[in-house]
Parts: sequence; structure tokens; C-alpha cells
Amino acid sequence: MKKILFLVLTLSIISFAFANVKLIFWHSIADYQKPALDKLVANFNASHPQIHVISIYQGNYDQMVTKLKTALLSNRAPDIVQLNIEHLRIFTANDQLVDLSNYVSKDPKLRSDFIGSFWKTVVINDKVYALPFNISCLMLYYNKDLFRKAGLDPNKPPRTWKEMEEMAKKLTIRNSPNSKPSQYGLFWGVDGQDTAFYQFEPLIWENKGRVFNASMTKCVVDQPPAVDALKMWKHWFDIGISPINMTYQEGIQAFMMGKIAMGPMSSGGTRYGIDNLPWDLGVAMLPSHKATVTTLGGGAIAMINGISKEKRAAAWEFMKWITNTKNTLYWYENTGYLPVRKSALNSLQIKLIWKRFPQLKPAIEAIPYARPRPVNVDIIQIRHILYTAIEEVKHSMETPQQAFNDATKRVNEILKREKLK
Amino acid sequence: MNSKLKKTIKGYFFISPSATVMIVFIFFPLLYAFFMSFHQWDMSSQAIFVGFQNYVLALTSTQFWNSMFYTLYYVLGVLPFSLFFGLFFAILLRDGTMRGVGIYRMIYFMPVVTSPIAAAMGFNWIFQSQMGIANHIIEKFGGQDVSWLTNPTGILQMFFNNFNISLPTILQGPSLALVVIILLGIWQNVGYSTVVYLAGLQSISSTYYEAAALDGASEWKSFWNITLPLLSPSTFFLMIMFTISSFQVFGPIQIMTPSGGPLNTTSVVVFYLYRQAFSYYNMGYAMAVAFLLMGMILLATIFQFKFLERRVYE
Amino acid sequence: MSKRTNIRVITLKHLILIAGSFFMLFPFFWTLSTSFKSLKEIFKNPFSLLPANPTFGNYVAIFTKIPFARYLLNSFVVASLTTLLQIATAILSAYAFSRLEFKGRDLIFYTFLATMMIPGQLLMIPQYLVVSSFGWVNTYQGLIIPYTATAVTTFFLRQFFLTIPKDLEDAAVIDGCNELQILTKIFIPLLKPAVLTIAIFSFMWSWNGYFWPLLIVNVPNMRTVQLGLAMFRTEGGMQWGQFMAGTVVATLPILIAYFIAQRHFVKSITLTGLKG
Repeated sequence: MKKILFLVLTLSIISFAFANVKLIFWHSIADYQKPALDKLVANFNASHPQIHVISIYQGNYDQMVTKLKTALLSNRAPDIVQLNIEHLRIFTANDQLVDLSNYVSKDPKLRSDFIGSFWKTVVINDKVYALPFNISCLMLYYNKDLFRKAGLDPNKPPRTWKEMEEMAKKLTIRNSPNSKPSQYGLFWGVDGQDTAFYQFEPLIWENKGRVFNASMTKCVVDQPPAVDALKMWKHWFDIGISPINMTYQEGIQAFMMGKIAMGPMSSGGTRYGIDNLPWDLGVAMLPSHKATVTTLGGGAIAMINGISKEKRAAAWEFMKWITNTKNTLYWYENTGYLPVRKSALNSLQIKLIWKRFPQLKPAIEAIPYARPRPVNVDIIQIRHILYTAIEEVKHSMETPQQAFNDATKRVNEILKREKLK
Repeated sequence: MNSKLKKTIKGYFFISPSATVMIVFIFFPLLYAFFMSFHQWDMSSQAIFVGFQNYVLALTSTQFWNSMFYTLYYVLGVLPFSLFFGLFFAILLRDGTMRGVGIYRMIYFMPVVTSPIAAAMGFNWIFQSQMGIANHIIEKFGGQDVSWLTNPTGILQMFFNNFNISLPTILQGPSLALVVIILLGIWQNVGYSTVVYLAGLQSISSTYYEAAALDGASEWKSFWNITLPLLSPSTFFLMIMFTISSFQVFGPIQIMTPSGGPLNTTSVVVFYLYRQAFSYYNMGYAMAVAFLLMGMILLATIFQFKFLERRVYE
Repeated sequence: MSKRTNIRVITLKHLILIAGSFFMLFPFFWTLSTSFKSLKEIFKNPFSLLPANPTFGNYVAIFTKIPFARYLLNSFVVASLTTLLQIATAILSAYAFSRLEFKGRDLIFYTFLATMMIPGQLLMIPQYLVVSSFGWVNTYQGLIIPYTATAVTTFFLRQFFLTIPKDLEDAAVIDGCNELQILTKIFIPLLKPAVLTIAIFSFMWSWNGYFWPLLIVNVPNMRTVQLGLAMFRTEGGMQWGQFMAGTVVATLPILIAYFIAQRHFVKSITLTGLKG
């Protein structure tokens, strides 16, 4: 009797602790990925009757920062939020996210199950501020049908920049020798809107260069490795294998329409490509140069500082749940974002997923080569400067050296101002 | 109570609802913004007083001046064409007995009531490089497809490229992307100026023309000597309205070129300040830029009142 | 002028006007046409003037994928109430500025007018702080109240008031009417078409508003049409057919309102006299 009473008591305390906690969850998961997230949230709500998570799309990653900043200004912030891993610092700088270190230390298995390089992206000054959720690698997407038509082996994507250039030449088709190509071999498009400059960093890294020095106090793109990478990128446009006058978005559209044969894209879109492209999609590791590197990008889920204890407990429950082995695999299969747990990588299910969707596998193999992007509180502004610099080069307004010299100077001014704060 | 005081109280009573709203939601925020323009503030940490630093930074920044030029291009592109086509169509529609006048008037006014966001989505779709119908039509007629939204070269420079002449940056003209946005502006304005000019035309008494005809003046001459001067109040009114609205263009730019266009060539002042405020969180700086823009608009309006109102025929 | 040249002139006029109409209407037509094309058709043949297999799929999608009906309702509530209040405050102040004489009148009027020159983005953050201190974030009040007094409406109505001869109200004063009675009994009935015109404009400005809702609305069920549309633009990837369907639905109500009221437009704009 006593035992039962005790059980009832503890149960009621536990359920009281979660008594109908409503959690507002802001995210930037849009378009074709949204149904998968909605499904996960619905499953969570069904299996956790005491917690109700309401997920709300608030625009792309950059827009989310704006939304959250204004909401925090008037104490109208949500309880949990999915942020780009590169934007965490903007909020931790002002103590606006909950330090999760205590929760994590209570659960040692959890920490060791997260993939190391992913985990590092959420640790700032030795404190844990989020759990990695939708992590992606930049991959080379290519059109196998076009490879076949050009007489190339569709199962042998380029492994080096040189091979890529050679293949791209073969994949560029002109109706007459002097006309504009009707099909381009390559589009190394760089996004200027959301998380700008994303696709350019791996070029610098593969050329054994850096964007910033190790302590993030100076921009170093004016050094030869970065400038040479820029020269190479420009070269691809100059020799006519890449379309010069397309925005990043238009480039993706042209790729979908089969007018471009290859290009770097986030692994997060793989499943969409498999389901929707009317031609055979190939996904491969980015071609190497002096080194083999790809960009680690994506988002993590964090808690907003100032929410009640009950909400924090419920939020932690949700964050752990949505990143657990089963759910991270579901998320992976339905989007192409990488599983965040080691246990998922070693599971039997993942092998079944690869059987169904072989294009999802290369991104897993790229994980050891993936490097997170350098971050800083003013990163959005800094990236716009770097993006403008490479655009100037693309349109032959500046030489690579000159453009990166100017950009370095401007970025360093921002970094210097930050130090004074 | 004396009657003067009574009248004053009455007057203030009538304007009090408007005045209250304006004080709370415009004048107080304006003061606050002015105060913030002397601070460095990122919306999260404590604001730091920096004196005139934001204004100095803006006035010495190339980006700021570039954005001023792009704004000027926009205003100078939209204003004259909106007036010209408005007048042109108004004259064609002047004869109220002509068949279909009502329908034409209705059609021409439709873009005016369309939301800038929706209109920009439509234009964006038309001027897509791959799937846009504009390029398709050009190719049909044997032309090369045009990179409407991605080529940063100014249109004047494009023309002079044929002669291998390179113009200084300021004189290169707006990029095609900005031209498309200017087209959108004209498209949305023409209907309004047509209707205003029509109203103006209808108020011109026919006796003027009869007198001119008796004097043997040609139609062209009576247009220059009668119509145009008598329409000057309408022109003046439209100029003021379009100047104020054109200086503040933003929505279509945000929708059509979310990253500020090729090499920031569509980054007009409001876009620039919006980005400083809501992407970079340089709040104080953005507000300083906004006050500089306000000064520009004020100067332009005062200029128009000083130099053009005198020429308005009363 | 002979009859023949007359016919020629009229034909030429029509030709030019039809060409003009083509440019005015084409974006509408193209948007409408695309909205009935499936994504597959758009990718396969984006340029066919009319959809080969017209589909309502895009319209179904926008009403099921996102709560577009709710956005429409929100915009309707916000735009109607804003218009109503805006007209009410404007009638009162326009009457005062045109008919009453009091100390500081012109100064206040020009101060009102000058607010047109303030770039909206400048005020947004402080306005946001004011509204959030009232607890109005994510509410209809927050969307409506800050826009219930504008310089433009006041200015236009004042122009209308100035066109009404003074004798009319002098007669009323002799009859012993007070200002409020004069306003409601004489001015408002006379100004019906003008007020209707201004109302359409106010409704349109409010309906088309974007940045203010963007700033103060964080929950989907308070989003307005324009906000939903722009959000959908980033949310929807490459769904051009659906964007165009959204654009059509967002534009249609305002066009219908315009079609109903357009007869009054020219008349009212003539009334302003544009002498101010």
C-alpha cells in the first residue's frame, strides 16, 4: 500500500511538473522540409500529453535573428528556438540563451552520443547553448542523365577541381560555336541572401587557406590561398563553363530544369531532389584540391533565457526527444540533414535508408571532412562584405587581390570596433 | 470666456483624436529615434552615447553615398515618366463621349490599387532570367536573353561599351535590376497621374480653347499655351506626392532583389538603412541615415515649393 | 475636321490606348495564367500564354498549406477598422483645419503634413517599443491603432471641405446649429463620394501594409495577407504557381472594392480642386 501511494505521489509530482506546459517553438524550416518537422512535433505532442509544442515558421535564418531580437526587446520571445549554428553567438553574447551545461552534465551518455564536430558548434566558451538538430554538409549535386549524354560515367563524379573543370567542359553544350551555351557544366553559385558566402568558404579551405586567423581577430582573405581560390572560381566563369548572370536561386532553378550539370548544394535538400527531379540525381563529396574539406552548416535548438523552470524542463525533454536516435534518423531520411547521433550512424536502420535512397549516403561519408564556418557577433554583416567582394570579381569590376584586400580592410574595421565594445 | 479662447478650445477638441495618435505613434517615436541616432545600439546590449559619430560615419561612407545615388536614379526615373504617360493618356481619354473611356480609365488605375508586394512578385516572375516571359519574347524576336536582375553594369555604361568608353561610376546610370524596379514604379504610378490629370483637364473651361482657335492658334500651340500651364497645379501636386513616395521606395526592392541587387546596385537609402537596422543591428547608425534621408526629402520638397510653385498658374 | 480624319484620329487613339492597356494588364494576366499551371507545366513550358491543363491545385495548396483564409480575415478586419477610424479622425481634424479658426492652426496643419516625409522605417523600432509597452504585440489593436490618424487622409479631406461654399454653413449657424451638427448634417452628406474615395484609398493602404505587421506579428493566426504572402515567398521554395495564386488572392479583394467604387473616383479627385 505504501509503495503504491509512493508511486502515485511521485507520478503525480512528475505529471504536475509538466502539467500542461505549452511551448512556443520558432524555426526556419521551410518548404519541402516543413512537413517532416511538423510530423515530428505532432508525434512529440501525441506521446507527451502534458507538453504541447506549437511550432511556428518565422522566416529564413537571417530573418529569424531579426524576429528574435525584436521579440526579446519586448519580452515576447518564444520558449525554444531553432537558430542557425552560426547565429548562436549573437544571442549568447547578451546571455539570451539558457546555458544547458547543467542538464548535459546530468546525462553523460547524451553528450558522448552526439557527433563530436557537431557538438563543437553549440559550445561557446565551454558552455553548451543548444543541441544540434539539422546539420548539413555542402555536397556536389550532379545530373547523372547529363553525364551519360556527355559520355561520362555517371557513377564517377569529379574528385578534384581539375577533374571537375574537365568534366564541366564536356558538359557545356553550345548550339553553335559562338552562341551562349544552352547547357552549362558547372554553377558554383554563392548565395547572397541567407547565410551569405556559404558556398565559397570550402574553396578557400580546400586551397589550404583561411577566412580569419585562429583567434578571429583578423580577416585573412587577402592572403594567397584565398585569393588563388577566388581566381580559380573566376576562371570557371571566364572559360564559359559557368553562367555568370544568374542569382544563386536562379542557378538552382536552372539545375532543376536540367540546364546545369553540377553545383554545390546543402545535403538538406537531397530528399527533395530525389523525390521531385525528373532526372537521375547524383550526390558526391565536394571535389578536393590541396585538401579535402566541406562546410558544416545548419541549425540547432536552443532555449530562451527567462522562461519558467517547468518550461525549461519540458523544453529540455523536447530537445532531447527530437534529436534522439529514432527521430534524427526520421529527419535524415525525409530531408537529407545529417543524423546528429553516433548511435544513429551505427544503426541498422541507416543501412535500410541507404538502400532506399543511396544518394543520402555520401553526406555521411563527408562528415569527417566537414568544417564549421567561423562565427562572430557581426557575422551577417561581415559575410555580406565578403560576398560583395567575390561578386565584384565575378563581374570583372575588381581583380581578386584588390577585392579581397578591400574586403579585408572593411572586415578588420568591424572586428576592431567589436573589441572596443 | 472670450470667444477667441472658446474657438481655440473648439479647434483643439476637433483635432485631438488625430493629434493624440500622432503624438503617441509618430512624434514621440521620432524624438526617440533622434535620441537613438546619437547612440550605438544593437537592440540587445546597453546603448552607448557616441555623439555625432553615426552621422559622420554615414557621410563618409561610400555605401551610404552610393545608396543616395541609386535613390536619385530611382526618383529621376520614376517621376518624369509617371507624369509624362499620365498626361499622355489623360489627353487621349479627355473626350468623355468616346467609347470605352470608362473601361480604359478603370484598367489604367488597376496597378495603383495593387499591393507593391504582389506587384513585385508578378514583375519578378516576368523578369526571371530563365523562366521569365520577358526574355522569352526577346529571344523570339531574335535577341540575346537579358540578365535583368543580375547584371550590375549601369545602362548608360552598357550603351557606351559599344564605343569602348568607360564612364565614371556616378554617370554609369542605374543597373537593369534598378530599371526593372523603376518600370514597376512607373507602372504603379501612371494610373494615378492619369486620373489626376483628367480631373485637371475637366476643370479647364472650353472658352480658352475657343478663344485660341479664333486667334488661329494650332492645337499644338494651344496645348503649350493653355493646357500645360492650366494643368500646372496638378503637375505640382503629383510631383510632390511622387517625390515623397519615390524617395522611400523599399518593398519592391526587398521582394525582387532581397540581397540588394547585383553589387548592391538596387540598395537605395531605405534598403540600406533597413539592412543596417534589421540585419546588422546598427540601430543608431540606421536612424542617423534615416534622418539624413528625411533631410533630403525635406530639401527636395522645399526646392519644389520655392522654385516650382511660383510657376504654377493660378 | 472632316468626318474621315475624325474616324482616323479616334482609331489611332484607340490603338494607342489598347497598347497602353496591354502593358497595364499584362502583369495581371500573366500572374493569373501562371496561377493555374502545375509546377510540372511551369518547369516544362513556362511560356505558354494559357495553361495547357488548368488546375486549381495551387489555390487548394495555399489554403491548405498555410492558413490563407485566416490571413484574409485578419487583413479584412484590420483594413476595415483602420479605415473607419482613420476617416473618423480625419473628418474631425479636416473640419477643424478648414473651417475653424484657432491659434496655431496652420502650424499644426503643416506639422501634420510634414509627417509624410518621415521614412516609415525610421519610426518602426520606437513605435514597436510603444506598442509593446501597451501589450499590443500580436493583437488587432497593435495593427490598427498606430495607423488611425494619417496626414494624407486629413490632407485630402481638408481639400474636399475647402470646396464647399461657406454660405451653406452660415445658413446653418443662423438656424442655431453647433459645429458637430453642421459637420454631421451638412458636410458629411455632401462629402459622401469624397469620403468613399478616401475610404477606398485608406482600405488599400492598410490592406497592402507589410512592414508593420512583419514587425509586430509573431504568430501565424495574426498574420495579414501581405505578410503571409511574403513569408510564403521564402517558405515556398520554387513554387511559382502557388506564389502567383497567393498574389491573385491577395489582390482580388482590393480590385473588387475598386471596381465597385471606381465610378466615384474621378469625380472626387476633381472635387479636391488640387488648389492647396
